[in-house]
Amino acid sequence: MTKKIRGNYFIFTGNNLENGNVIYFSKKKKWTKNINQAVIVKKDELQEYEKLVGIDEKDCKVLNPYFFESNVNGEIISLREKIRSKGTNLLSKMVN
Amino acid sequence: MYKYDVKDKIIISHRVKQFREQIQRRLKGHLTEEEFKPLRLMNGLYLQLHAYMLRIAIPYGELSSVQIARLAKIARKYDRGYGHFTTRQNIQLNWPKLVDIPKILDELSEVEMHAIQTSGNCIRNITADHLAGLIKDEIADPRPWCEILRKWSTFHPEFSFLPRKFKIAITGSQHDRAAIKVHDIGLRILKKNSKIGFEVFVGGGQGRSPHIAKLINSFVKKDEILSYLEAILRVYNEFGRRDNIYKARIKILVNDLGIEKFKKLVDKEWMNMEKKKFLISHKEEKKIKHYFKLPEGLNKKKGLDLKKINNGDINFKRWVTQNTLEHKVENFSIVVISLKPVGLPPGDMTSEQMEKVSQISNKYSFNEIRVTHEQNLILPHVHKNDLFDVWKLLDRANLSTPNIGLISDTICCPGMDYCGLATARSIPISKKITEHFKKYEQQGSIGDLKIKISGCINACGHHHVGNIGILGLDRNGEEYYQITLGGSATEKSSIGKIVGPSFSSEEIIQAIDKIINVYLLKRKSKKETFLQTFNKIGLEPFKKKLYDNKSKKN
Amino acid sequence: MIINLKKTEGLEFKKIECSKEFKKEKNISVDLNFWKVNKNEILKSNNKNIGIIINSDQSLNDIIEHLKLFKMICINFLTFKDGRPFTLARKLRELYNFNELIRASGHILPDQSIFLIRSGFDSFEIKDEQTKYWEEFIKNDVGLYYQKVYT
Repeated sequence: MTKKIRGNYFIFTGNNLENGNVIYFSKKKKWTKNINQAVIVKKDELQEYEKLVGIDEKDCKVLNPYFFESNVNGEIISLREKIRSKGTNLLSKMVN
Repeated sequence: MYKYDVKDKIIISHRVKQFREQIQRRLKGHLTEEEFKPLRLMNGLYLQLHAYMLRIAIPYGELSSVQIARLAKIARKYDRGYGHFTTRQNIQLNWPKLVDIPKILDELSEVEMHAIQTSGNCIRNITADHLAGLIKDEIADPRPWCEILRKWSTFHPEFSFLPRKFKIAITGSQHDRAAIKVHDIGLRILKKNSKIGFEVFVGGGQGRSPHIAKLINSFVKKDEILSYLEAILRVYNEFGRRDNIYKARIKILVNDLGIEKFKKLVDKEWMNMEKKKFLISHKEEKKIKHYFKLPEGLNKKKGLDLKKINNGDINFKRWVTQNTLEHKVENFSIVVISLKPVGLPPGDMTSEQMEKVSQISNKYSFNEIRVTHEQNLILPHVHKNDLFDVWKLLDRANLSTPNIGLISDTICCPGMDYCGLATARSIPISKKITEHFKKYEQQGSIGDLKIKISGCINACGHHHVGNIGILGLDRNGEEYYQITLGGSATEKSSIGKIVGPSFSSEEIIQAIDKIINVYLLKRKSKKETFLQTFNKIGLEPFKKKLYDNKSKKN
Repeated sequence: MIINLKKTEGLEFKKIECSKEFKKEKNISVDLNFWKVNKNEILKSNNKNIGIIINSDQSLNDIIEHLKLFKMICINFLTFKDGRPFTLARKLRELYNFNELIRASGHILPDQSIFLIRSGFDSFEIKDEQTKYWEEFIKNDVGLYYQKVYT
């Protein structure tokens, strides 16, 4: 990997191929919609997890997987990922 | 409105079948995502920040009451009960499932709609003046030509894997409401010696390097337009850059070669081409034009009922002043439905609202609806006697905001609330603007003003051509907004100039307020628009007001 | 595997890399580099069926004078997203009246088959495991198009 990685803790995410839902790689090495179940990966474990996730991508268990930075407790740092984890529904007020 | 013939129907249903099979192959893993991506994009299917997004084509912005009712049903059944109208006259669903897409496309094809080429590196939905065929100042109705171009560009075997996306817009009048000069190709219908033809502009566009299109041919005869477009596309396909996605649009090629050299290449292709093959026959032209005649009922003279028209309700009067236009047929009005209510995302519409508009259009506007590139809707033919009833119905559905062309009628991309590429949110900024300037009197006194907001440099919110443009940026993890002034997308197109360092989301409204105050102070009279004042006084007075105190403090 | 739309009566081209092989074989294909280096020798040869292979990012300029010599022009797609070969094939057919085989090879998808055929390709070098999809796509085409192009 040539790109310099910022941060020490990371969460793997992607989308469900069939329905597009945002999903996270869990402690049980499965994919879950619940970010609280996401596994917090240390920097030196990244490669190992990238391999696992890569296999799941080939098996169509996840679409476009990638990882992003979190803190040690799994709290998200970037605004983009915060918005993504909440699943905006701006019009929900108006829709029954 | 255009109606599918047998050929259209077969082609569309075959496409749905094909895409259903492609989805099956993807789900089985027989297609990788890299291979599937261009195929799904050609059918309008994206993967966005949260989910898949389906962009449904509304060719040149024309919808029937049946079609919008179907969109309402699809949004409710397969999505979360709302859709988003875009700056290219299309509609997007934000939460569809991949496995439901074939069913959605089936339901669309039943009402003669599709999502073909709403994305991908191909020729996209052709856009047009949203007042086409409705107003007096028109040379010719652009819609028949849009339809001819729609056919020509659909599944074009040579131009389905271009270096990058390709957008064409057509206007039929001197006043440009289709922003043709910020398109890859812009066409303006002209009359020369009583013959119809096209003035052709090429290489316009926004994104990270905005360009105003350059004139490449001042008059192409109408029946030769397809061969001429074919020649331009061929030069682009052969020589457009493919090594760098940010330099792949035709504007870069035109700029690198210079318009003279580019024109030479195009002319050479055009001369060598067997032009006869591309001629549009008189019969074909006549047949297509027939679909775009005014509805018959429009010609039946119905006098004005002054009691109905002069209703004293002040909100109704405001709405008539701000949201209706004169139709070329006497006693009829063009009604613009604002999709920019206070505090809600611009361009969004719920299924209930779509159904309401369907019913109103059915009763009062000959079943026709238009989508504007400014993310509003139009009821094209409403009799003046019916305006009050239409207003009341729209009002009940929160669709009567009287702000067309005013400061709160913002154009806005989905931004980081939805988009995978965005660097900042744009919808909250639009919300703040509509809330801050919600008083009609205040908006009215400011007058014509176009604010356009993009959540990243790709400029889907057209910020470059906003009178006030706002571009969302990521500065060390925080949202900042850069302001440009003086942009315009009309026949006198111009790219806005950056006013200075960007503002945080807390500061942005105050900054816009200051800009407005400079304008109000410097304008000669109420008639002088923001753009006119800006062109007169330039950036400096705005800069001074925005940054002088700041630098003193530091 | 190769799909040919026209009957080619067993005509197959052996790709050759050196001039020794060139002398030995009758039906040969050469790439653009080989052509540039050995052009004179190739032009002098008789009784050979010659195919030329160009990559999707190469132009026709170097071969355009000698089109009559070739029994096949094979355009090798570096990626299926590279759309230049569609233009090259149409120009070969419509502008230069090239009537021999135009073959697509490299990274091509069955989903592109109809576009390829309509642009003038009539031969495809494909992955064996994709044969089924190619045949289905070609067979299922409804034959209705909006443009008057090569076919």
